[in-house]
Amino acid sequence: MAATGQLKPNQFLLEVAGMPGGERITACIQCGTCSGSCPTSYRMDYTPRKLLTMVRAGLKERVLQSEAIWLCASCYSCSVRCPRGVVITDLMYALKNLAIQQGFVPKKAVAYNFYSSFNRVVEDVGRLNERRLITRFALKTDPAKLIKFAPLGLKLLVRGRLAVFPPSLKNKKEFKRMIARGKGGGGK
Amino acid sequence: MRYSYYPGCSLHGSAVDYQMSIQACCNALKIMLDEIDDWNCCGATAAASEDHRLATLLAARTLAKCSEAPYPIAVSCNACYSRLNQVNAKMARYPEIREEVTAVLAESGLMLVDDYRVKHLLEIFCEDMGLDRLKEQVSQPLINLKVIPYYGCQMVRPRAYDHPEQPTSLDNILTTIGAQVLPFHKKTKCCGAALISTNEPVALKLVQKILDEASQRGADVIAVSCPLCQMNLDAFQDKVNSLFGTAYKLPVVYFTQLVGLSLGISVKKLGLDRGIVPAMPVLRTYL
Amino acid sequence: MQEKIGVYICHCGSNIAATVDVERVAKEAGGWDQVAVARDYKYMCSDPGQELIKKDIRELGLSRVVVAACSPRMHEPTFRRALEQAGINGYLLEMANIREQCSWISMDDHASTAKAISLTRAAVRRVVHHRPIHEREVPVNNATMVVGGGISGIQAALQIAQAGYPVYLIEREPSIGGHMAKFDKTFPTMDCAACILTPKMVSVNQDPNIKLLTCSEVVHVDGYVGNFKVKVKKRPRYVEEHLCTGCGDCESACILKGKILSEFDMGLSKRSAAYIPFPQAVPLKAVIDAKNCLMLTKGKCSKACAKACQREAINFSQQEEVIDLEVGSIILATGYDLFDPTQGPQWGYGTYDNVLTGLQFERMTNASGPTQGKILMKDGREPRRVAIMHCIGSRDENYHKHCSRVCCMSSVKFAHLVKEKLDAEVYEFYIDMRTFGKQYEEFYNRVQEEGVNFIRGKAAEVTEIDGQLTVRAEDTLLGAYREIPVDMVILNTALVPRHDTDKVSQIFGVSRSADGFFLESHIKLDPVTTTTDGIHLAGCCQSPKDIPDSVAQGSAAAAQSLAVIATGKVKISPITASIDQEFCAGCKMCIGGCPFKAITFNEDAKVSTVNQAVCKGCGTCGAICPSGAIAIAHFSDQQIFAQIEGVCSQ
Repeated sequence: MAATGQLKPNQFLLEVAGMPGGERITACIQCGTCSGSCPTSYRMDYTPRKLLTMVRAGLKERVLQSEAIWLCASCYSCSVRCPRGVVITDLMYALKNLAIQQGFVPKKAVAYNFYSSFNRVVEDVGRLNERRLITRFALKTDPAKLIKFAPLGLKLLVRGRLAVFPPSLKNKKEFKRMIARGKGGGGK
Repeated sequence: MRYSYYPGCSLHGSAVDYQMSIQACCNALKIMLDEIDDWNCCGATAAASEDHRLATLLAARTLAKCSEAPYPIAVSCNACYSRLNQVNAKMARYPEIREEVTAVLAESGLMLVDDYRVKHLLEIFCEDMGLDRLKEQVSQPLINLKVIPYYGCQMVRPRAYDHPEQPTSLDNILTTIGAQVLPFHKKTKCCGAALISTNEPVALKLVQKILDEASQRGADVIAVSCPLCQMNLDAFQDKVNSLFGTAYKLPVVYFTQLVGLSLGISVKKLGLDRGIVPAMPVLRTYL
Repeated sequence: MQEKIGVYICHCGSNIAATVDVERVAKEAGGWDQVAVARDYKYMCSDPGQELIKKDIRELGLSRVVVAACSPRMHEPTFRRALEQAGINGYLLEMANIREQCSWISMDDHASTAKAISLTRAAVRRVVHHRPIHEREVPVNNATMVVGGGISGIQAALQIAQAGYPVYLIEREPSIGGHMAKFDKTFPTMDCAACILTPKMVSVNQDPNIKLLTCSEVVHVDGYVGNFKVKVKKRPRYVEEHLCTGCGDCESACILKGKILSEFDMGLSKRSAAYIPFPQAVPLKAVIDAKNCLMLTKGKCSKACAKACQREAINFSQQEEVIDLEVGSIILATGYDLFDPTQGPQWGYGTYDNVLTGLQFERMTNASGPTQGKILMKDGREPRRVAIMHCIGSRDENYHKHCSRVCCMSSVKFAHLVKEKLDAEVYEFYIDMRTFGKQYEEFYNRVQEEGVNFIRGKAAEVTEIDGQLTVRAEDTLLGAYREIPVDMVILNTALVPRHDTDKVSQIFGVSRSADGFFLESHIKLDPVTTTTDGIHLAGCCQSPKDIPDSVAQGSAAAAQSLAVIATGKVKISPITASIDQEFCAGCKMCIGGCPFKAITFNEDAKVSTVNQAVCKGCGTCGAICPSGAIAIAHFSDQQIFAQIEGVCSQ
């Protein structure tokens, strides 16, 4: 698909620039320091630098459907080295947010389901419960994962590193109400 | 020295050994940690990936729980440290987000103050307590123990008190307790913890690179300051070995476990018997 | 008393008129008290515009003039001259700045027009209180001081000396030559740096009009254009210059021979404590390194150098001296520092043996350098793969935002030198290729054809993968991450302001721009002078530049200084402070407050007095004086209050 010229204002660019971390996207000089610093760019369909210029070209579908945004490990190497002060890691978060909110992520997508399982568990009890996370994540993607996780789970259990009764918050109801009031539209 | 202490979820679960060693060291070093009442998960990378509002709110609630305590906030996990610090900075930078969060927290009877001092344990040890004081307390220096200081990424980036590419705090602590600190280029390279459940092959490659340099340098142990790094480097060595045909067997311990050992604290109290790759074979000589 | 005021509103093409309703401003002004005429015109500063004013002065008998136009910094002298030509004192003029302060800062026509009216009214109210004042002239000292003996300072000094006037050339190091003396070849023609620089260095030494002071730094500057008084601190060389022949016997004899890192070779070779800076040094005299010499640091040495010197030139008892100079103008040519790449550990400098800076590479390829021109790795082998990295510390908000301008071309030059000397692959990592100068693009094209791999992408990191030095970068034109194994890395580091620029800027009273370099009067139209009259700039102390531009600016600065000399006299602004001795209480507060040290205390009369030649009329003393004894000509209380009333009234 050729990039078609955009005569109307690039809504996608405005949308991304309006997210926290997206402000400096127009400052990028396309030097590629981000991609060269990134530990996972070698596996990305589009390098971080290229994603930035694709946003500026308004290629919304290709950006929000890219695998690259889910490969960001949040190590911030790109962000501290960027010569133009673009916090690329935060920009990646913004793109992930938009991809989820606007339905660009396949239902069984692994990364998305891991994050959403994590968040639903935390929203429910206020803290991470490792067993509930794994169960939910496996059921959402591939139940066979439960068997794969078992040996590690067992190793941790015998070393006393898997809480039998994980703690939760004192007032879960109030916590849930607060989350419901304050979270954005993305979480389902 | 007194702090509002944020252990984070891992320290009540898979990193219980980190928690035990922190408690034991801080007792011995007279660092008082008041666990924050009813703290919640920081959201880690998951919340930020899905919904920046949720991510901000989770960290902000915990910060708000510290508003009345006159102490800085002590954090032991790199990811929690990064999240709390970033949300603290974010609320100063984006007044409209701060307003939104303030309103939501107010309905739950919580309020934010202008700025929180969020400190990682490494900073507390090096700056607040000072290494001279640590040195005075060392009864069993870890002479000849070859240690790799591994900081991980979120300890030093995007902003922290140490250098984002060449930090020295962990090096200095380890030197102070008598260990031989090995030079290590991958000090702050990402271990891939955020990807281990979502893209295992990519994450394992990152783990392998770190283990590779560490073993080439002849390390006895890798010292870490984060429960996620510990889990990733320790529990997945088997998988790395089978995937890359390697035979790494490197114990990955918390720096507080090594500090505790040098202070003469028992193995049991430090949880040193809980690593997947056993650490005791190389550490036995220091008992 | 009734004045006859002419008010002139300038359109400045569309600069003002597009936003400010100039006709309305003129119409309003026409109705104000004492205004005899108010006009608007397309370009007041043009000849017809000035003629308009002159004609009105002559025909209508105007006694005061207000021009509402651009900043007075731009055209106040123009209009003052017009008034003088029409027969009235130039200071009976007042300008209202309706461009920078109105049209250029607002898109709101209504608000801009209202403000323009307000500022013009203020000018009209003020100008009523203007009094004729007169500029004075003082004679000019015909000597010039050039600070810094790099290529631009050398050029400036030679130019002035050639015109027949005395020059003091002050150099901090033991030899002149600057950075250029360390270079190997120079782009785009690849002639050898020493071959074109050395003749100029020798001319400096031989020219009777040039007095060269090495090991010297300016520590104090007083006075004003035409009459600067300077103190120069000259460090001891511990070698009597008039006796030393530069034979090098001391260097060979020194017991620390081969022990001290050579700064000229950028740490790639070692020298003695007594040494000749480099073979073409000017003056070709030995110097003793006081930081390392055993005699000077510990007081104990066999003094092998002194024994070896047949001319008995070595003198350990030399002392620092302070030399007083009087000069009419000053040229700052203090050059630049190179960015220290250890600030970015990701580039591997200091971590890996074969990561060099560009200047180290220059020394290495130089035939008289530490490897006699061979490009060698630390282990003595020739590299097979060389990476050259642009923009190290430049164009980077983490370090320096500015583009260093010369690195693209010097990187291309390095690539050429590697290709010329070795059978090696060269990888050049760049963000944008900026080859803007005469014959530069042609040189780049030539090197492309030599088979250099140009990779568009800033090298992010130098690391070791399985023991192999490797550059990590994105090839942005491919859109792909690459790891390129290399044997040697050349970091082309930024040109940055000298580490002591702040101190120097205070000594000379010149400002700095946001990038830290010295600030010129006007970035386009006056890039050689500073806002301090008589102090001019040449070379990289103003901003990074290549050799052709440094030489051009050296000549331009010389022309500025020669212009000061040629006029023989300088006009001193009559806008100065004066102290009414009746009211002065002798508290001396003004003396502490004066930034130009223009006020002295008269112990007999117990009052302060202003040296009119030094005073800049800044007004600080007037504001400080608790007795209200100080008046500033052209800025009387009456004038300022009238102006404020003009702004405030409707």
